[in-house]
Amino acid sequence: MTNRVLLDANGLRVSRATKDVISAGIGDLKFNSDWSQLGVFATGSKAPSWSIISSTEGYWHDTSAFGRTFATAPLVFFDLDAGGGVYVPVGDASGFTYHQEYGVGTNYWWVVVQVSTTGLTFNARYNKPTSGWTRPSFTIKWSAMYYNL
Amino acid sequence: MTNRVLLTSGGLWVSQPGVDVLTGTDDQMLFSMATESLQVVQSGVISDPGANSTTNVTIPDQGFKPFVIVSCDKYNFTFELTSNTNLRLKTQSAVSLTNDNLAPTVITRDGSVRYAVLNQVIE
Repeated sequence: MTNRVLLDANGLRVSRATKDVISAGIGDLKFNSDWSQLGVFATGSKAPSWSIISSTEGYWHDTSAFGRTFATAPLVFFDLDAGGGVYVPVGDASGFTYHQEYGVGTNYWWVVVQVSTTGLTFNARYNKPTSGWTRPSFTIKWSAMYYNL
Repeated sequence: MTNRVLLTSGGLWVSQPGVDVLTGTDDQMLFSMATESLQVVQSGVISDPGANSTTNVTIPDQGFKPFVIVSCDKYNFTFELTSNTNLRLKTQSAVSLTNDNLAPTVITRDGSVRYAVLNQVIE
């Protein structure tokens, strides 16, 4: 029978099926206690509450605190869903910028999400001088990992 | 108390909270010999490489091209694995933000690129 689990003073290693853990290279391991493990620390979602600048412009600023301070900014996965099938969700791992224009820079909206050691910062802005263009509506879902980048 | 950890000559299993590891199915396990585990083999932060630049990063040789997470809050970018041990990142222009100087908070994007190399092969 193939040796699959090795637990010794150096830690724990588990090999992939048919691979002997004692002689396995790193690519043959399914678990290595020398590597980091992804685990979800917290999840959440945000939708913009627009502050109105004028009849055509608005902005949004918001934060989400982690409730603790990491040594470095944690790994965070995002999903941006603008709904209506207009935009596809995007994933990212440490903050992102998304900018959408309609026409030649007249109608636009953008959102920037940034990750710090203590939480997330959301900034967004829109401009809609063309009549009939609706104010953007979107939801940002996030999952923060214990693992730091 | 629920049995959560099973270590035998055949392998190691760890069940989810509330699930008996002796009777639980593979999809009720945090760790199982039958399923893969997602781990980070190497990670790092590349200081702002600038727009339209190419950066090569040496990664551990796992014998295959692994799944990699790359992110940046400033630039459009692409990345490719040119071999099992080389991650090539190419930045393009910064994502433009109309009127970002009018935002209530000054937005500073540091342009750093963060990456994590996982232990899973790209299928």
